[in-house]
Amino acid sequence: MARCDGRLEEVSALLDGELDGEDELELRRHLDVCDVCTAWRMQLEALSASVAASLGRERAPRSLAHRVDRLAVGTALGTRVLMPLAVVVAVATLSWLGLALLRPLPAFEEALLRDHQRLVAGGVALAVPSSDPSEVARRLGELLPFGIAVEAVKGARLRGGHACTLQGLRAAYLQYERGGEPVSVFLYPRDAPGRGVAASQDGSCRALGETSVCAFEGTDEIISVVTSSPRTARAFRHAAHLSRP
Amino acid sequence: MRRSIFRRLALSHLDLLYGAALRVTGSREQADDLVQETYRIAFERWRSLRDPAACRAWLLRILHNAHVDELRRRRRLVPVEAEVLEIPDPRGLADPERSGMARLTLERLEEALGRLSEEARWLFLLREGEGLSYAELADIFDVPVGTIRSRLARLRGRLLGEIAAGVGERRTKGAHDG
Repeated sequence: MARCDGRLEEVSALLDGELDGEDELELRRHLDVCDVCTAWRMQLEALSASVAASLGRERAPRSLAHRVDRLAVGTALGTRVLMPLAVVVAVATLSWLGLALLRPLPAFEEALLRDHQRLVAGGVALAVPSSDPSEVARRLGELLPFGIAVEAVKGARLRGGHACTLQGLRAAYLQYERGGEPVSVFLYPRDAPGRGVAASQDGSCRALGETSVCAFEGTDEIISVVTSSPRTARAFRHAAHLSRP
Repeated sequence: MRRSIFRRLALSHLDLLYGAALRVTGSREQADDLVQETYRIAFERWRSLRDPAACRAWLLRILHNAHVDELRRRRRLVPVEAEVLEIPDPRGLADPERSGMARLTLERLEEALGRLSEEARWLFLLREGEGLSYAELADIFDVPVGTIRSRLARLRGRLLGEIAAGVGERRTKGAHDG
């Protein structure tokens, strides 16, 4: 059995069509002479055939299809008609009350949102499309006037990085995915001139529709996170920092 | 991608999502709720889908995450790693009679599948039932492809072990009854 230990996993992958050419050839040669692995393969094939025979194809009930379709229409209606209407009502009310929230979004935050939308939508390819934090940090360090360190964020997948210019300010951009949702992280030196965004250690957040923009103050840097909620944004407050020379 | 295109694309996977949800939950009512929640999230976040070709895996990931969230709320989630999953000695399975595969019935297979945790059942059924590639599964479960490969081999080993054990129990019971 010892000589077949690693092979059992390979046999399973072979049946799934997931072995590379060389590995497949080598395994097939092994199967020609090994009764143990051949027995394993036959059992797996029989199991697969039984599962395939038992599963069949399910059709969603017609009532579910109607509800899901209505959901699609409802969301579109909400986005196209009701939400703008709600925004108009909210803005008018706040205007009447004279609340600070009515103030137009600062140009810097508008620039963050704009870059978030175009980079998440894929309109612009990421300069460093890598999920390796150290690789992204190294390559962005070559593109920016400052070096950064990128940390792994629990529960999130790094998609890559980019070098941005926000209102004339050079910033590192990191794109993550968390629970199927895109998250944009912008990092720039704390003492950079021209940044028009309030930041705090616990995060200063502003909501715009379904998107939140939060700014976190670090030792030498500001991290702005654009995502769906302040709670999600907080998970990214330590996603990166300036690296000291 | 335009929203109307996304809507058509997403709705074309409705039967697949419903089938997957039904197999994992074993309940038409729960599958119904889960699929509806999946589409609610998908229609909210559709702009984050960058590659239309990845729509199927993207929807399945939302479905899986929605189910995991539901199980966490009910504190029923058992991670795949927490289970004892070992590849049995295939020499014990070489004889189709002893392994139980010669007389494997739908009922016995469902019993064995029912003893897996929800997470393990997700992985197995998405591979066997929907034919997802290791790369797609790695994306859904957020683990490396190598982990998917070893988990699947161990899961299959466990299922074969469960089926063989079921045969053994029946034989023993039959002998006592007789």
